[in-house]
Amino acid sequence: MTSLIRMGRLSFLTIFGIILIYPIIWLISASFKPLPEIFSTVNLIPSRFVITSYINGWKGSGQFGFNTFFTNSFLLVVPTVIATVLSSVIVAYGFARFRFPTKNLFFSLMIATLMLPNAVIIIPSYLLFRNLGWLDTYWTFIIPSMFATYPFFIFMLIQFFRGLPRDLDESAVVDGCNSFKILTHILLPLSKPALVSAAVFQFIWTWNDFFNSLIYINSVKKYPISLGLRMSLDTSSISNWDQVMAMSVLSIVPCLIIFFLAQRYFVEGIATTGIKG
Amino acid sequence: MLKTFGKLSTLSLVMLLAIATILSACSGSNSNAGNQGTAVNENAGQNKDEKVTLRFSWWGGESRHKATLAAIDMYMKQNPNVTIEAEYGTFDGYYQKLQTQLSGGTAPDLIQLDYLWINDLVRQVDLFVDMYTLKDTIDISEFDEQFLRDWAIINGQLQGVPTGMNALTTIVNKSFMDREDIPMHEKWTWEQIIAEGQKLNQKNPKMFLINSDLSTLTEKIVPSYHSQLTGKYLVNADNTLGFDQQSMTETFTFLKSLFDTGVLQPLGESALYNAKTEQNPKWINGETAMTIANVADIPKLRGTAANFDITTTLFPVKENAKSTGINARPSQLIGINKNSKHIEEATKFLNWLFSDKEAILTLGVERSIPVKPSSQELLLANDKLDQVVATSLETALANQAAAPSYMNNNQELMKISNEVIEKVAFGKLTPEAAAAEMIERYEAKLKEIDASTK
Amino acid sequence: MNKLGIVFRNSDNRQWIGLLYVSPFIIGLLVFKMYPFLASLYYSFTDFSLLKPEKFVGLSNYIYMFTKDPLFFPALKATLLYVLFAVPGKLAFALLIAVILNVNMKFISVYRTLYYLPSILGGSVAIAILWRSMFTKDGVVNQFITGMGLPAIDWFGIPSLALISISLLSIWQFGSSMVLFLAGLKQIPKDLYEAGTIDGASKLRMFFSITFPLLTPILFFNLIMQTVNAFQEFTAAFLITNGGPLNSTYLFGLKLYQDAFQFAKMGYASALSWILFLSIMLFTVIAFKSQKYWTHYEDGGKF
Repeated sequence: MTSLIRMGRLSFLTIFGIILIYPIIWLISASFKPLPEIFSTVNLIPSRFVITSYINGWKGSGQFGFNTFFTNSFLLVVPTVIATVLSSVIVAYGFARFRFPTKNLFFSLMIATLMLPNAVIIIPSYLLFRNLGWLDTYWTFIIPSMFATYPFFIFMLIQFFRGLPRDLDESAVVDGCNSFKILTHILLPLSKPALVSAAVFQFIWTWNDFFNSLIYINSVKKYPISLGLRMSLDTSSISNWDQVMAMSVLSIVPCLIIFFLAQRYFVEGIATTGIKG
Repeated sequence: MLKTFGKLSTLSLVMLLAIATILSACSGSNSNAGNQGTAVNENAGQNKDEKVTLRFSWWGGESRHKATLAAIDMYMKQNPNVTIEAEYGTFDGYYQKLQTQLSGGTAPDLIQLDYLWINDLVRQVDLFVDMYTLKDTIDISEFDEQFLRDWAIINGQLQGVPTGMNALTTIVNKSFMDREDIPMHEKWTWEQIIAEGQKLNQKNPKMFLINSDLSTLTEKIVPSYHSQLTGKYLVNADNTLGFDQQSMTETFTFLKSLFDTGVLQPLGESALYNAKTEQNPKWINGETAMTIANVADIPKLRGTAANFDITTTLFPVKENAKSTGINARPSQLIGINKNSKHIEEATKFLNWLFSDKEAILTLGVERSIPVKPSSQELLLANDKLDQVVATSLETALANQAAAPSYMNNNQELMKISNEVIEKVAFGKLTPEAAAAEMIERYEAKLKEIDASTK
Repeated sequence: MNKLGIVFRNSDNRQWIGLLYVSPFIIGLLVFKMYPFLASLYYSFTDFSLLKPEKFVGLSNYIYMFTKDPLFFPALKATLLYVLFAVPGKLAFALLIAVILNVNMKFISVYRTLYYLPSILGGSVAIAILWRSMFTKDGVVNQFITGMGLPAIDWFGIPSLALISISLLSIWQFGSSMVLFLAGLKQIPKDLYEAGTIDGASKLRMFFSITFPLLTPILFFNLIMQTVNAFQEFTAAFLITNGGPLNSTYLFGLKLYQDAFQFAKMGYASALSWILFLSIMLFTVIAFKSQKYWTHYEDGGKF
């Protein structure tokens, strides 16, 4: 009986999984196709395998190649991720476990800041960063993330902290822990899945972010991957879509690795120990 | 915690008062862009060895980037005191970024511009240096004056230097024409096109003479046909309507007949490839006979047309046309930021870019065929002109009519045309009803634009 | 509810320290968020065009929106339809797959990664080409349909289908919601299930009596975030359809982007986004209000 369920689960996962990632398989196959074929046929198998799009694409189409763009993306993304997770954890802890005056006001404001589209926020933000002298640097990403300006993660961590019983904090208080120690010794180890998700999301989203990088970064030598990918797309001249496809595939790889490494934390965590005991 | 959502509004009101102070502090930054004529050429009269850094932004494809960077390198070698920082990238978002920079007073010194936006940009405020005031530094004598007046002079100021020439053309798939036994006319009339297209479609309902594209209908076929019909474009120079109920109904009836007779590929099929004909499988696989395009698009379209020969012919003109509806237009312009600190040096570089032999040869036709006759001859002599492109441009220029007024390119009006044309193409509106909607919405929008110009 | 609660309430010191923890956010809010936020509110009462100094115009942007702009209501309608289609679809998929994936078996990590893959792509440039190729006349989707004996469809030629196809793109990228559900599932103590098994409860019953209630905080979070994002969706429409055909995919996010940067009407775009803001706010308030009826917090619902 259980093996039947297991089989059913496995076959469903496999079939549905193939349907889901078919487009990505197509994308990978397209990156090996000659340029016209990318658009002209929907066939999965290229008529002939072309590897040059990877080689030429890597060189980039100007002074800088994708080694530069990859490095830049890491320089931009890694500090941003670390700063985001650290600041969001602390703030979420404050919201989830303490009752202080103005708490509801600030919580509401936090949720409210999610609701204005980037298109109208970006101009005043730009003027702000200009006055601070941060334009064309990665500080435009890193410093705001040090100050917990990503409500998504705060809200998310609040929800997870609130899923942890307060009895846990209580026993720690009895043991003489201060509030910060409760966070670091009790809550954080139990929230690993949430922390890791936050880090992975922020990594992937910042890695893929186009519009903010476009507005804040001028120098080609500081372009992250998302700008590098689109660097040669033009409406009026030949766009090397074959190279763009190839580099798009490569640009997914770091995100893929990060996710693969991180996902075991979704399995681990508290479930194995049980928190009520 | 819910009540606090309500408190938000109260707070907002309080903050609104506070914002007045914040903004008064910050509006100095906004008005940077509107700073009228305060840009002083600080560099004038300075020492020749003075180090100068110029920023130059453009969009383009790989080959344009490489050619422009090579030219910049040459210039920097010849002028060691000048450093040119290239800010190049994709067309996507370029306009947004440019507006952000102009708003923040952080725009580059030299800026590549699309002629389609130039009027929308400078209609309200001066942003670029009038090139006529720089006559001593940049030689514009060879640029055709009428051409500049039509496309680059706004409010009496020369806003930028046109980088190249562009015009309407018809790209013909020779292999297809031979195979389907369609005659190769030297010049096509719309009547001939409809006759041949109908024949083709009746022979095989899956075949269309021309592959459709919404942006082509909006920007090229509809305004040009209207001009052929009446001698007027959609908006006159005084910003009044160039069309009326009758002329627009006739134009839309013509448009509808293109779809009804199977001359044009149904719009639903090409909707995914709007303004991306080079990605349309119908084009790539050589399944249509013709495509209406700009001369400058030829290399791009040829790039994905793997296995058929192309040639070009004049954009179709109807019988007894009052005008051809064809005109030369710039591919792009390069303007100099009014707030640049180094206008003199920027102008020198621009002049070099358009007059130095090596520079002209290096840039080639990366920004389409140059406007200056001497540059064209130089490229021709060095075998740098693409034959197909050159011929199609020549054909278009030989049949040139008056240019449309600037307001014809207004992005909001274009959006209206797009919508109404789509409704005709999808059969949602009769030509009469569509013409009426066109008149109503164009008039309302023009009134709005007029109000915002003053 | 517990002794600790009393301890907390009695010790002011412990409570005020919360403000200290939240202080980075407050600083960030005041320095980085408040100005852009309020500036856009101010712009919404002006004719700001990015290029010239703005002029105060009172409520006329808002009046224009409701009385003259022919695209305001179509954009609103398209956006609502998009939200109604994409959000439930995405959440249902994410929850279903997360429950199925929440087992210990061989290669489960590979499956998890596979199912997350579409989300890694995000708004990549390749997406547009990818989606076009899937939904073009002789694309894979149509091959599948014709394989079942049905006629091929012009997905982007029929207005209602175009919106569905765009929504499918969003549903396809259900990965981040799925990950959060997975993380939430892992937070559920196993002994609850053990107790349930001893009581002889069926799997389905245990799902509705144990899993689902304990997952509601995450479900609530996903619902709020996905809806807030869906209301502002821009990328899919911008990259793939540019609003067409017949404005069926002219989402609000795309409209205000065009008004702001293509038509140089930042003031008007700001007004549009404040209306959007209020719509999202309305939804959020209702959602928060409904919370007490269906969500379950281990901290006893005290916040």
